Amino acid sequence: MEPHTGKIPYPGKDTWLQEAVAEHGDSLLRLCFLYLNDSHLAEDAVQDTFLKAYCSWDRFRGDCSAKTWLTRIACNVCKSYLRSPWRRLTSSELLEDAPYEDPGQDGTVLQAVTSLSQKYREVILLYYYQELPCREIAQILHLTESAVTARLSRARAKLREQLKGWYFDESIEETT
Amino acid sequence: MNQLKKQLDHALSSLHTDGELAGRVQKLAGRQHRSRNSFRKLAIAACLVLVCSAVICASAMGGFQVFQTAPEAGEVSRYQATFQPETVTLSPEAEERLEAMVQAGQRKTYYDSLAEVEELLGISLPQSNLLALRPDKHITSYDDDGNRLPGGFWLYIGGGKEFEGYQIIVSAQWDYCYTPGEGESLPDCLVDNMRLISYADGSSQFGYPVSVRTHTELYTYPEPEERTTSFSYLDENLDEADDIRAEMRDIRISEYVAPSSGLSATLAENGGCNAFFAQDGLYTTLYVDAPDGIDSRMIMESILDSIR
Repeated sequence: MEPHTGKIPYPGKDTWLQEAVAEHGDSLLRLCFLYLNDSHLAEDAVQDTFLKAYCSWDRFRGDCSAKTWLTRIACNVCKSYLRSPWRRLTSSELLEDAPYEDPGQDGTVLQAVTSLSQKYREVILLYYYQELPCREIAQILHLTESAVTARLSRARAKLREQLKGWYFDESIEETT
Repeated sequence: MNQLKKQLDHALSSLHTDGELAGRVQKLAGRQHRSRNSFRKLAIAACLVLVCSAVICASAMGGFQVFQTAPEAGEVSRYQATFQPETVTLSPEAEERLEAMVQAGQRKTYYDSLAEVEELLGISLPQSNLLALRPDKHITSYDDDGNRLPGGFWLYIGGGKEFEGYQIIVSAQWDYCYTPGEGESLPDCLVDNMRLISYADGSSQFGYPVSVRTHTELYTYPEPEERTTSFSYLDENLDEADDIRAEMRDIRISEYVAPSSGLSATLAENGGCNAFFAQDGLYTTLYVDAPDGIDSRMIMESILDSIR
């Protein structure tokens, strides 16, 4: 899906919303889940994300892709959820309700990623899961590119340590 | 597709957005729009009531109101949004003196001692609160040229005749405010020895790693014993204190409150806010000033979160 810009006539925000939900809804929901470790909160967060995007659609200048824009909003929504006192009280329920398809195998990677501290988790998720380039991650997180690269490197090291001896180990190779 | 994405997608393959999400968002947006319009009408009505009440009260009281800038107990940093105003009516003589100052354009005046401020206002100000704002009278102050200054107090006279009175704010002088320019990073000398300090009351600051003994000498409010037991260095619990400092060197001041975050958008709508570091000879502290109605503590936490 192309971002709407001033130059490209776009059918309208209702159509855009339908397309955006279809194209990015699932990955944003999973991203929010990986941020929040709670599927219900993740559903709320993704709804909030699209609501914010829909309401400010007219102000979106199209200077980044719709995916980046939505990801940025989703990150901010998740962070504000994490800041709420209620969320802090319930954070001990980490992953108890995680909807693993195959807990015996894939729960390990999920557990390893979600056990990273927020700042490392988010760069891993944005880089590997959302497949965004460091430049865009830097924009989303308001960091410099070098800070993103440094965080990514430290996050990879932590993941490697956690997944030592597991078959997934070799996939965490630096690709930057 | 990279392996990690595959693994995570596989693990979370049962998570899907429901087919009604787009419709729900449209409905919610419509409802929000309607309630915003209702809120706007309500806000206008409330403003009219407030303005009428203010005019009636001001006419009845006349003169100046003194707003004591008192932070909540135990707070060290300046959170303007949490100040609890305390209204004091000044004597006619004090009002005349202040009126003369306003006429002379002296709305912001610096005084070396609190006694001078009290003499001018003709009232006693609760010193404990001001000492809390200015933790230690022995802290060395510097002017813009790096010259030593005695610690003192600022008197601000706000408002105007159109409000049938003035507001006065007395605040302790922060010794030296380091406000980096657009895109400027923190100087290495400030970052090298900085520690992230957390107080039991929820406030946080970056500071130099001074000993507990020095802290005891510094804080006069609350009691030194209480203060020394109520703070901890956050980075003692982190094995990555150096990483934090490395990242701090990479951060540009203007990025702390970034325009694209939801919080900043709210702030922008409310007149923006100001986040800056201040150095007072011993500490380098991040201060946050926010418009009325915005929780400065929340902004502070948000900034700290972005650095941690």
